[in-house]
Amino acid sequence: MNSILKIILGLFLLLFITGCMKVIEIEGNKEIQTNESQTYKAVIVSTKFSDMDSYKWKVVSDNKDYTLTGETTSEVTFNASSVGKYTLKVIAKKNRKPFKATIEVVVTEAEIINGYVLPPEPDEKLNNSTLLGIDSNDNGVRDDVERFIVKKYVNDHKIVTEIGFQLARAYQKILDNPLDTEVNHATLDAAYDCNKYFKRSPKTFGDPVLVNRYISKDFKNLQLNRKSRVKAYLEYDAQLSGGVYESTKYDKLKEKCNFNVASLLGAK
Amino acid sequence: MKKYIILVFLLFFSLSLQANTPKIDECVNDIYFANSIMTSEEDSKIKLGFIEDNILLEQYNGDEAKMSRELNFKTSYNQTHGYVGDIFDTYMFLSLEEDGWDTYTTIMKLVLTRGLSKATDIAGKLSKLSKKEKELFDKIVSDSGGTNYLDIYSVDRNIDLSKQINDYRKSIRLGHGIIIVAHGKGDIFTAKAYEDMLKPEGDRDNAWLEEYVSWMSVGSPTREPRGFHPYINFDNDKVAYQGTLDATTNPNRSYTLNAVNEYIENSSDMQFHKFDYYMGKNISFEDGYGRRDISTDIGKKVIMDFLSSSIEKHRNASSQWAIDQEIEKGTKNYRITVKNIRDSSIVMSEEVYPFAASKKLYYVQGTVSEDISGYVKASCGGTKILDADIDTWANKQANEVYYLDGTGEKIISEDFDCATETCLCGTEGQVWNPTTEQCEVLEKVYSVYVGYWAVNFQSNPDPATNGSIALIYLNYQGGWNNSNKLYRNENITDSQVIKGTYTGNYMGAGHKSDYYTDSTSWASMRALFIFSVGSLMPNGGFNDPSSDWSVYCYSPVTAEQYVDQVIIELKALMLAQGLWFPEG
Repeated sequence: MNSILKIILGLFLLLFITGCMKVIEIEGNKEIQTNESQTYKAVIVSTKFSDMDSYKWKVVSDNKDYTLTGETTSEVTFNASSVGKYTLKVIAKKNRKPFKATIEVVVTEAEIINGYVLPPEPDEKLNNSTLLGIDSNDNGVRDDVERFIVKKYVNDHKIVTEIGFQLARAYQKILDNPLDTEVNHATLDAAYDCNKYFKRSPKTFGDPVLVNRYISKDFKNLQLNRKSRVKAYLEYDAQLSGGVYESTKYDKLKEKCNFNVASLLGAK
Repeated sequence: MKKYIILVFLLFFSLSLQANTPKIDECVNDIYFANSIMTSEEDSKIKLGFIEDNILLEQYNGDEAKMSRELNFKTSYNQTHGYVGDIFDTYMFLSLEEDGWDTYTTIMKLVLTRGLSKATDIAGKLSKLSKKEKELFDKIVSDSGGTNYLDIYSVDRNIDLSKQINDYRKSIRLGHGIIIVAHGKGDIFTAKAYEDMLKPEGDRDNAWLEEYVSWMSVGSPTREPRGFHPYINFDNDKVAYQGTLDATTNPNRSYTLNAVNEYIENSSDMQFHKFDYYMGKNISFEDGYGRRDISTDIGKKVIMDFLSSSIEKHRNASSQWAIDQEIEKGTKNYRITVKNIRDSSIVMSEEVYPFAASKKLYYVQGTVSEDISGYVKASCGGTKILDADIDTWANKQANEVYYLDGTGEKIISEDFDCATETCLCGTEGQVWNPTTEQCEVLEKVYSVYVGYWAVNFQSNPDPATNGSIALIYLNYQGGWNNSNKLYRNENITDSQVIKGTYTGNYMGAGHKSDYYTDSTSWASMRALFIFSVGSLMPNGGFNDPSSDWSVYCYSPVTAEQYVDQVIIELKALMLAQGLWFPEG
């Protein structure tokens, strides 16, 4: 009798634990800015399920200044125009059995400097937990670096900021795949050449001198602020060893800028 | 059909290959920057940028197009292994070289030797090693027994060297001069690369490459710079070797504040090794006095002087290429083929425009499709080939068929009729010199008159300008065989006919007395003088212009020689016509 009781109790315990185990979770930023579209995804975390039959998303908030698209799929896009706290809920069903998950999203006012909408300051721990860090607006520039660049060159011509972005993207590319040497080198070289044009050659082509130095030094330390990032950069650099690299000719420098130079020059 | 496809493919492939083949250009210099320790390729490029900027300002006055045509800038990169790795790498490199190299020590060696004897404490301190790194470092040095060092980077270095040597050789074989600014550790690489570059490759001799290399050491750890090349080492640069070399006194010093608040000067400081500092840049410097910006232009001046003289050196260096064959010489189609006199395996099969055959070989690229593009042998600086049938240029002469804009050199055609005005070198008082293949300003005779029977001569207006020949001085040089010289000036005016006044046994030549100071008016008049030995005398008339003699303009002779030549011809003609009877 005692043994039977134990088995029954064990079964109940197992059922209880299983019921408490998370089946789905929501992935996405917990801090976003107003009018910033963000993607949230319901991810199955239990090995017991490989898929779900249906999804239903819902937003709980004090206001209705938001949009949510794709509510019946595993992935939604959320955009809020007002500051506040929003709770995203999803109910996924498998064989009529519901599984729930929620995420709290804090929406803050977007910081706009010099016409640039700054991404929110990323969580330091999260940002430094991977080589690439957080790039919430998906523009190829890590958020903390982007914020630094925009603020650093607030009194300069927008082109200086764009040069900074081009360099920062090149560094990200290197960190993403340090051994893609040829592409990485060409990308970083192009950013350097663009900087060089606006430092040295603009007068030759009737453009204004916009910068008096190579600006990568301003934020390279921030970009490579972890041993892992330095290591990846050195791994890239080592691939170049022994090579002979020719400087780009003066009349090819401007075309290395990967942004719309004419439009920005026109805009002043 | 298949054959045609293959043919088209091969044609396309060969054209593509041709288009991508780098052109020989003996007027170009490749400037390399070989980096020191703790320098990424990206930083290396920025340092090279300092060099570029300074050359642009100081030697090209901001003319980027000109600098771009004449100079290429390159980094010769050797990777950084981090500070301690770089020091170790430098040391290994020096200690493992073949004979000769062993004698070269560095301050790195000192650091490492002391580190070996004292468990790398000093080296560790200097290198800011972590405890773990110190242990590893000590183990590496200890394991290697202090003499047979474990060369952890040797594979990297050999690859680095071979790539760089190949590039240096390739540059020179393309006619370029190579100028290397080697900083710190980069100087060790450069020294070895230089040595290896000159070694033969099988039967292929490379010793001649030396003539086209200029190399400067900046803050070098080698005890002596290799060969006779310039260097600069600040006396308190921690990396630069401070041995028998004459170090340059650095006006900036480094100090430490000791326990009793005294400032003690440090013998050296790593911060003075920075290339930026050698190039005169402000650096943020920190020592016992605190942080401050410092700079000096001493190093920059030495480096820039080196670059300037090296560029000039290559400009004046002899050409690797000499004439192999001449094609249709004397015509507008005159071209040459060339052969490399230094290395016969280097071949350039295109025909060349011979503006100055002894000078440099390079390619002039037309900017639009109608422009002439092609190889020239000429002085450096040619930018465009002008065609006499299409283009014009200053003081263009009738026998000039091509003109090289930028140098002013011309290709002259000899294929012209010297009996007409077209044979003339023109209106500048120049004559054609077949030896130099140039129109040259030579003293020439433009009139000859014969005594004894006396010869009338006449000057005509210049048909081009219908201007006057005003006031010409004739120097009469009389007497057979110059035995009885008589000098006399006589004015001639436009279209004047001068009767034979002089009789007797003399003849002479005339040239404008102020020829040397007024060469522009001289030649045209020379050509327009007409000599007549037709009917003359007793009536003094000038009545037989059909027998006119134009003065030959192309004879590259002195006035004296020319007199002799014309006298002979005159004598023959006069004898034939019964106008002259030799004495006796």
